[in-house]
Order: sequence, then structure tokens, then C-alpha cells
Amino acid sequence: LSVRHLIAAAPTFLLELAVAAPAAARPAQAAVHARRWRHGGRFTVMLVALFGADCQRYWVCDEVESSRTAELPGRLSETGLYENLATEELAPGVFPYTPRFPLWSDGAEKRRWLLLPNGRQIDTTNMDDWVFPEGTKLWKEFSLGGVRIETRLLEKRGPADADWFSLAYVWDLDGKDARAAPLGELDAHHTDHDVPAAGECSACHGGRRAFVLGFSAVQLAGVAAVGELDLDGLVERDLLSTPPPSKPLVPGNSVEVAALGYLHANCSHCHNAARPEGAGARCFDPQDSYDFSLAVGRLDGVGSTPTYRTVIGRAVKPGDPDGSRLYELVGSRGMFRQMPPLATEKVDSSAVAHIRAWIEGL
Amino acid sequence: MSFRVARVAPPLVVATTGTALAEPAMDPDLAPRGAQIEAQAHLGVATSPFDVAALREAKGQALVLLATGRYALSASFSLELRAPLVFGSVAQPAGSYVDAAALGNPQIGARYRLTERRSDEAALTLSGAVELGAPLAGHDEMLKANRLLAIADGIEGRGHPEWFVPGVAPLTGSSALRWAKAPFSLEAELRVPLLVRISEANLPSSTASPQKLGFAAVVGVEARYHLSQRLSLASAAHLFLDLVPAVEHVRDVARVQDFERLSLHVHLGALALAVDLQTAVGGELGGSTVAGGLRAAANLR
Repeated sequence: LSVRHLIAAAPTFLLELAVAAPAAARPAQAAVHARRWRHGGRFTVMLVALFGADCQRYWVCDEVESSRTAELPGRLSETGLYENLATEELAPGVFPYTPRFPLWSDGAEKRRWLLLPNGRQIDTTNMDDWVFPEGTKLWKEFSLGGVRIETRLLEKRGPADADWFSLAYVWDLDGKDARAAPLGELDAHHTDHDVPAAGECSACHGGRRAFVLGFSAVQLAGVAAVGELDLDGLVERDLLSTPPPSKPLVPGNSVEVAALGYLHANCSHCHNAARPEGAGARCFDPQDSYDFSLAVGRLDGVGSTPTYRTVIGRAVKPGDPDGSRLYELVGSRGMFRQMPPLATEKVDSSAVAHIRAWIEGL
Repeated sequence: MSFRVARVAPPLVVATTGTALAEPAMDPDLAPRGAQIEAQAHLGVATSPFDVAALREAKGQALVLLATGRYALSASFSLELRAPLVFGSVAQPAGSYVDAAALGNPQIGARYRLTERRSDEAALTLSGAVELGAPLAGHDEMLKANRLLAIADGIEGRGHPEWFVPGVAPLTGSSALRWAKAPFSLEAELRVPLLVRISEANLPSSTASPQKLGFAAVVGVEARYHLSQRLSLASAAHLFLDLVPAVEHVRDVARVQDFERLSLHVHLGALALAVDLQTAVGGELGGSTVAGGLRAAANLR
């Protein structure tokens, strides 16, 4: 513990008090807050912030140098996604895909595309952490009510794991192109949608060596829509260095699959046992042993999955959703009160229902 | 927390500019004469309006440090040098934070006690001051320092834009009036910061509109009740009027905002302690602001 740690942690401590005090003063809220304090979330966060061994404040991300984002094109039309942006004709080699378990983005509609450099394969030696070749690009488009808000770009500009560049492009109001937004944007297009700053991409993506989250064996093992790329399509096109022997199917009944899939897509990028050491900007690096990932080698039964092995009996109390911290965090919003902690301000009510049913059935 | 180290005490300090209403009040008779060094810190969280269309508010937590050097040339006239420094965490759009540090605009000023009336039971003091700021407030391409300073401005109740607006040379005039009659004291202050634009402070010209001249007024009043010789309770309020914003707001924000501060002061000889909590009331100026903490002042003869 040092003066620097105290100074760094003190503002957050005050924030906690400021957030908690007014709400706790209301009788209707007092019981809820008391329960949360009893669960230890806030108290733990403050103790860790103030007295933790390394005083890591996990919510603080490194900033991306402006020179790094400046290397990426200033307009989406220059990134290589479209052959003709006006007609939305994709450039040659660009494939759309849809992960089986999407990340919740407050109900935004999303489309995704991948471009692999000509003749290159994805190194799939580790089936849970694919290594993409230099020149790989991925895009994800966010729309609300049919209006395009932003398109995010991930581009690997070198051979190393740290060579991923990320940037969001906010669509012009006329919808003809999108401009780079390295600082992000609040309430883009006068909606509730916030566009992340370039540095924030690493908060989630930096949690896996692959850096890419929704394009993996588990996520592509479903049945793709016509024209979209899936695991079979990757094998057919000889784009994987080591094809999987079979499709990695998620075990369990529909309730279990929905819960495990949601937790994999929304939680495992931070909570996984294979986080890279010091790869690029690091933040949201939990200091616990929870693992919500769906690993290809651990799908022979629900009991084999990391979620069942590391979470049940701790953040999840079998048969008691209301007593389960996981359920409380997934169904809440607010700093230190929600999971995932980033890029969402609305509860995924469908997921909450799935998680509740799953915990009740345990 | 605030620590004040001083040598001698001129009575003019009873009515100060700038931090008068934010400091734990010392007994005027203990105020220093000659050189005085003062440091204070203020901790808070704020959501302040910000000047860029894509980032219409700056949200975060910050520690505002203020170092002040003061030299009294006579019983009525003193020179003052003040430097604000801010450390904190700035919220990013998706919800993560980045740490930042920024220097505010250092100020050099002169204060003059215009008049003082004393009787056995009461004292009335009127003073005036002028401060000139150096345009050194931090700004950068990523607008991290700009946003941190906006947060600090919110934490200080927007009472001192001349400390925190980057890209301007501030000139601030103020006057203060203090009346004391045991067990009460009342202090009122009017401050008028003029902010002369000298650079755009990295604000993107496409989405921000810096003005050539910003112009604000801050009216503050503090009432204090001395529970005993050592203990006093104070309630302070100040009204911020954003008459001509230094940057034309990109969102519809109230240009009048009042802030309320409650504080408990303890005097232990040369040591003064204060616990305070300040919050915006009567609406939100583009967001919210809460600041508070423990302040302390030590007056060493």
C-alpha cells in the first residue's frame, strides 16, 4: 500500500459512497443495498481498491496512442469492407458470419464480416484460441431501428498477438459513409448507444490470445444462414490449419445450452483461465478463478464445462437464483453492480430469464 | 484535505477570493502576516458538460490539489500565486476509465482590503482582488486532460472556471464582504472570471465552437454558526452563471446552477479541520456533481 495507491483509489471510494448513500437512504432500496453489501461486492471492491496486494483497479484501461489509431483509415469506405458502399456490395474475400451466442449489446442489431488475406489460413492448433494471420480484418456493424450507428474494425497489422488494431466508425447521418471515432461517442445519433473509444476494445478482446471473440470453433459450430461463413465453410475453403475432428457442440438441454452460451459470449472474455499475460492494453482483468468459457475439449457433459467446475456453489447457488450473485449482477445495471461491466446499460431480460431457469433447475 | 502553513497573519485574509468559501475558516485573528503557503485537496465525482459533440459530458472521479503561496506586503495588500493540479479517472464512452493528470491555469493575483469596521461585538470587512491566469491548463489530442479538467470544474461547483478551462488566459475580478458577530458570521463573495481565448485546446473544430471570450459570474454566500470556540457549523451556497460560455455548449444545459455545501469545522489552536459535502441542487448542469471530504488547515506562527 502506498500513497499513490490511496490517491488512485480514493476517488472511486468516494464514488461508491456517493452512489450508495442516496439510494440506501430510500427505505425501499435500503434492503436491496444491504443485501448487496452483505454479498460483499462493493465492500470487496473498495477493500481491493484501497488495500489490495497490487491495488489493481480493473476498470481502468490503458489508453491507445493516437498515432496508433491514426494508422487506420479515416473513413469506413477505405477499410476494404465494401466493393461498393452505396449498394453494400462486399469486397472480394469478405464473408459475413453470425456467432451462435452473440454478445448482448442492449438490443442493437448486428452484422459481422471477416476478411482473411489471400491464401492464408487461421492457425487453429489451439482450437480455443485461434491465431489469425497478419492482414486479417473483422467488422461488426451496429444498428438501431434499422439505422446504422457504427461499424467497428479489428485489423491485425503484424504477426504478433499485440498487433491487433481496433477502431470504431460512426455512420454519417446520411448513411453514405462512416468516420473514424477514436475517442468513441456518447449517445450516437441521439440514441442510447455509446460508441467505445479505441482503447476500450481491449477491455474485452484483450482477454483472449485470439483477440477475436465471436469467430471461433464454438461460436461457428451452428448452422449458418445462406451465404454466411460457418465452421463447415471454413473447413471446405481450407482456411483452418488444423480442422476440428467434429463440430464442438454445447452439451445439455435447451436451458443449459442457452445459459452456458450466454455466459460464454458475455462473460468468458474476462473470466477465463487462459488470459494472455500482459498482451497489449490490459484492463477488466479479474482476480478470481471463475471461468465461463466453453472450451472445445470440455464439452462431453455440462459437468465438464468450466462454468460448472468453477462457478457452481460460488457465484451460483443451485436452486436459488435470488441468492446467486451471478443472477443479481446479470440482472442489474450500474457501476460495480452489473455484469458485463462495459458497453451495456440495459438488462438482457431474455438472458436473465434463461439464467434464472437454469439456476432453478440445478 | 487542506494544510496551511503560515508565518504571520494579516486580518485581510478574512475575506479572500477564490477559495474563501471552500476553506476551513481560520480565526481571522490567527490569519498570517508575511509569507504563507497553503495546500488543499478536494475529492469528488462529477458529470460535467463537455464541449465536443461526440462527448457531450465528462464523467469521472478526481482529486483536485491546490497549492497557494501568499505574501502580504502590508496589512491591507497581498500578492498571491496559485496552481491547481488534478489527478483522476475519466470515464470512456463504453464505461471503462482512463487515468489522467492535468495542470490547471496557474493564477497570480493581488488582494486589497478596502475597508474594515470593527466594534467590540462585530466586525465588517470588505476586500477586492484581481487574478491573472497563465494559459497552461492541460489539453491533448485524446481530450483526456480536457475532460479531466471539466470534471474538476464540476467538482469545484463550477465556481472557478479560470482554473480549469484550457486554452484561455483568465482574468478574474472579485470582491468579498464578511460580517461577524458572535456566534454568527456571514460571508458573501462575487467573482467574475473573464476567459480570453488564445487557442482551441485540441477541441476538434468540426464539433466544438470555442468562443473568443468567455464570461461567467459566481456569487457565493456562507453562513456559519459557532457552536463553541472550537466548533462551527457552516452552510454555503454559490450560484454559477455561465453568461458567455468559453465554448458554445453542444447540448442544452442550464447556464445557471446553484451548489450547496454543508460543513462542520473544528478549530484546535492553529489547526482547523472541516468535513464538508457539496452537491449541485436545483437541477443539473449537464449532469451531476458531488464532492466532499475532509479538509484541514494548519496555521503555524
